[in-house]
Amino acid sequence: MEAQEFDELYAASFRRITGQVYAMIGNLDEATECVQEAFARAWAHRRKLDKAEYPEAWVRTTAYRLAVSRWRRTKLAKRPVDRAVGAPTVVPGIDESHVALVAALRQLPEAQRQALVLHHIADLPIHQIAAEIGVPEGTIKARLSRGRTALAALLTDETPGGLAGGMSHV
Amino acid sequence: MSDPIEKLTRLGDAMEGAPMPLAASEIRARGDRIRRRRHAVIAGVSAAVVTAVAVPVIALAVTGDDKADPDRFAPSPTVTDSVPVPGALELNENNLLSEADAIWYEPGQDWTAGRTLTDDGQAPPNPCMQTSFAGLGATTVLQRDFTFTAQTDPSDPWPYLTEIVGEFPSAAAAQSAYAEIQGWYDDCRPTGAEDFTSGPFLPVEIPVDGEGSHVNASYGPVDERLDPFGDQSWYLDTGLVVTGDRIALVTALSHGEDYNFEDTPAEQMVPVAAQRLAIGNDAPPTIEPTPGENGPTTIPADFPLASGWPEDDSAETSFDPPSADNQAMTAAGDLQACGTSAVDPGALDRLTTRWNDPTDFRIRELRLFTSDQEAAAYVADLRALYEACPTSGSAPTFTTTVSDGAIGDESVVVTSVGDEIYRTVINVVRIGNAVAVDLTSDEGLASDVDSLATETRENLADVVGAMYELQPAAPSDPGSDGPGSAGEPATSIPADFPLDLALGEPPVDNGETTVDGPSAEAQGARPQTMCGGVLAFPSFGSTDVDEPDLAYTVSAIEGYEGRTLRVYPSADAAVAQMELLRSQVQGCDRDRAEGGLSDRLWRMFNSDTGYDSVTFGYTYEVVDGVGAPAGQLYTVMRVGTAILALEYGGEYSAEFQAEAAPGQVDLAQLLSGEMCIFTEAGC
Repeated sequence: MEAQEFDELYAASFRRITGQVYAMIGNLDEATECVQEAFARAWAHRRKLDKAEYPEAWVRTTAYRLAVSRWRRTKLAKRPVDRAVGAPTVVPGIDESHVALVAALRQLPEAQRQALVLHHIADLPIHQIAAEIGVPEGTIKARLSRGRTALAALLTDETPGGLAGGMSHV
Repeated sequence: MSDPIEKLTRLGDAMEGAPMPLAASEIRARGDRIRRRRHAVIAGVSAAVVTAVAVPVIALAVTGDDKADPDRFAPSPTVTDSVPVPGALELNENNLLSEADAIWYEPGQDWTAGRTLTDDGQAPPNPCMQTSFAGLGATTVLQRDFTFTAQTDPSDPWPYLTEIVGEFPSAAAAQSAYAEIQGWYDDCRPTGAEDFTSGPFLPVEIPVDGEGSHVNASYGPVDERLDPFGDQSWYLDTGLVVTGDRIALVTALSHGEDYNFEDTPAEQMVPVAAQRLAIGNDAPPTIEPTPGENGPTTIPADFPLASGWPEDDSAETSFDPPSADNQAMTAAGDLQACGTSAVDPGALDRLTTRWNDPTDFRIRELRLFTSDQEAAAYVADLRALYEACPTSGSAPTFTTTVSDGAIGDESVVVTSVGDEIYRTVINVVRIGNAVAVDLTSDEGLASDVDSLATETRENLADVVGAMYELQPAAPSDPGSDGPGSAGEPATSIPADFPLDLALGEPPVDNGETTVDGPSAEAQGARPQTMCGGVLAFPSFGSTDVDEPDLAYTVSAIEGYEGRTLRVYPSADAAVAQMELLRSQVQGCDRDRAEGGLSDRLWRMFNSDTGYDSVTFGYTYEVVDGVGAPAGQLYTVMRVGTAILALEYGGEYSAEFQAEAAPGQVDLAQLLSGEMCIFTEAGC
């Protein structure tokens, strides 16, 4: 992969991947940093990237792994996150409803959250998600089904007067 | 309420138009830095190799002993001579991966080096390990464990990285161990696992002479505490290196929903591990026993080559007793596949015997070669001959399979079956410079060829034992398992041997619980059959003054615990006994005991006692709720010239047994400390 080709990939997919990783991990700053780092590693391993069928998927997977790894460090070791690329990144906040959605996503099991994000945000078909994560398609379908149900319940819970009122609405 | 899926989709667009925090050129610059750092790590290892080669010149000049100077690897600006020094240095900590070498995402960033052990560790370094490196024949063993840098939760200490390196008496022994380690993955069943999936070992290029390979495997389930939603698996990422007479085994174990590396961590570490392993191992890696100096050159006239065969001498049978005058198997065309015969490899000495009746025939042959290498080459030639011929003929079509065996220094099992009947099993066993070929063919059901394989393997026990007897004592006696002061191993069991050691509170004889022993009269581990054969427990065979028994029994309504200890005349005899037991245990997944109402399901468990050991057990199959909730669990462990058998029987489930197995291994470890008196080196 040449520099120009890499730059085009970066420009075309950075924001999209950042949005997806943000939905997965719930922290926009962290997502931004991890996607930057993932792109840096992609350039370092660009020969491998040439062979990758979906370079964007490679970057997304790497960014997600970095995020999980950093989350462990900060949560468990109480250490500052890597600042490999540069100073901590602070990006503008996003819409409040998106924050609520991401908060709801964070309450889902990791596997369901990842499936929902890849299918509904990254717009990947089920077979491609299965290939990216490395599990059977049936598993992805089950995670999506459970995830949608759980997400609907969580979002409804946050709405005053919603079904969270439970039996009083019957 | 708006549709949550619609919200999700809109979130995907939320970032569009947001500013780009860094320019692409800055990202590329960061990528270039990462690339340079990776190269620097590799270069650093290469420099260490040069240092290790150069410094001993000084050490030899000063001390005359290249192993005496603990600082021999210290860099010295005065040493510039990089001429290789004859003779290898002993395996040491510099041969292990360092923190800087260890990789998860990036070299030097993800792992913290933990303990470094100077022998096989007590914790299992690899869940597929069937025996310790010492049990494989390594004379020096080192192990280093690493903890994940970001990991501080002791209840979830994964991912986990460990490397174990071993030095063997010869390059051939290391090659044999290398193949045996790869074979572990063919029938691996980690403790508690319900399934195990492994790909093949794939070659990895290494920068030194030798071989590198890696394999990915997964198994499950993951404990509910770690994986409450049941979405995860264990991922076992393994790298393996052999160079000269040394082996390195790199194991990265983690749990998660996937293991999505383009090049896995273990795979990436193989080249670096190879370079580390080669440090100080400058001696030619092909030093082997010289003909006439170490290996036997003649076969004794009383060699029991026909042992285990039928003694039927009716008119329908014919038997050619073992003799060098009998036609060799190669010359007689006994070893051929797809019309191609094995080439006669020559031999220092040979013995051949044949037995046949109208439907069956048996042939055995023992050859002595001028070196272990020549013997190994013959085994390899036979393997290649049959591997090249998976099917042959028509009506019937014969189907041939070739697999690794579990006997001797190395062994190969060839089975060939017709469409419905006709079955042939060939066992090829090498011990040192001796190779035995055992061929049995009959008109039994093709579907039952496994039982013939088991039978022929068991029938070879005396032959294998005698082949060990032929070999001179190795530089490291198989009994020398543990480090410590030199001395003669105990030839009898001390009267006060604490066979009743307990991990917790010892049981009390109180009417409900009966405690018997330790004494020669206690019942101990009781005889057991497996797939029709009597298992070679220490109590198996005759008892005489040279093989004293000590036993201990605790019986209660909850179950039965038996322990038996026996000392053998030599470590080789004990090794042969363990080989026999292993051969019996392998390949038997289910059987039905006499009078049993349901099948017994046999399972292997982790048996990392630090010594030559095997742990296995059975529980009854439960179909539609019918089946006895009962089973028995065994651990058999050799330490030097002694073998200990532990039995735990009770009314329990397969799940309970899987949970109990590590405890029994712990108990064996506890007792192993007392068994060092049976090793030459002591403790």
